[in-house]
Amino acid sequence: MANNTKEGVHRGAFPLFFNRGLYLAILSFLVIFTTSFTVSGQKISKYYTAALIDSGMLYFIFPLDDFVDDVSKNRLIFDISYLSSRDSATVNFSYFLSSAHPAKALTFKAGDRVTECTPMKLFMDVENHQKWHHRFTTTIYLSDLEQFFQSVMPPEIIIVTDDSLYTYRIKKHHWQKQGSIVMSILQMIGANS
Amino acid sequence: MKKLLVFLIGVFFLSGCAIVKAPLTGFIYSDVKAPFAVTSNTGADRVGSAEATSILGIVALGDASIEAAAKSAGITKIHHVDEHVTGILGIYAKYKVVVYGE
Repeated sequence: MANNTKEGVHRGAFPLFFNRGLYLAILSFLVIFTTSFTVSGQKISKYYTAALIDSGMLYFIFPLDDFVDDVSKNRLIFDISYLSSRDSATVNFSYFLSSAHPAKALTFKAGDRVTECTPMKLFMDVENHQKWHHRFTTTIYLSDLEQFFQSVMPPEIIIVTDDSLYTYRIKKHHWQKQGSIVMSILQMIGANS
Repeated sequence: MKKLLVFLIGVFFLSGCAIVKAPLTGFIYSDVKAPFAVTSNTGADRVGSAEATSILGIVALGDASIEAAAKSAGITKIHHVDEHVTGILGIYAKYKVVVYGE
């Protein structure tokens, strides 16, 4: 009698179409699956791509979007491309404002080290009546870029436009991940140069 | 009530899969890079990308056109185009186009 009751309670813990073995198998699978994602969290191949062309290897680091303007909460989105036969990388960047204000300067600031670049306009689109998409490009020495991403403390990117100055900052935990990933890619590029 | 709940959950899981066009399909996880197009143009020193995202197969947003990718880097002559597909359990999928050119 006691056994029947115990078995009844035991069965009741799982839906009819499950048995204990199946339940444990699914649970184990989910644990392994989740763990595998955690372990491969720093896999860098999904953050960049590379192509071998006539003039060398062309690397492309996919857009980074963790830099945010404190005031407007708008994001700065930028990608990095680098051709191995050159000494500088190209940074294409997007910023969003309520009206059209072309960038006059782009500054990478990591601690005391400041690198100022001159941007060139790619396009300026109006996405809706309150959002202008500004797309610009600039070049920066690879060594300066490496020093920027080597920074332990979260750095800043400053855009100077014709009307104001916009400072984009990144949260520390985002920087710890993003900085190390980009630095790993830059180290790999350096090792292959 | 219970049957209705089971039915709704079933419908949710069966219809709500974020499936993305890819040369290979991974039901659990996909992270595939593949060629998309090649032109006769020579030389490339710029790269641009564009992407679209799908969540649960219910909402899909983005502009993953070659035009958008080329425009993002100021590319006027396209050398070749790659695609990059990522997906997790049909819950989240991302389709990315990468354009190389000058």
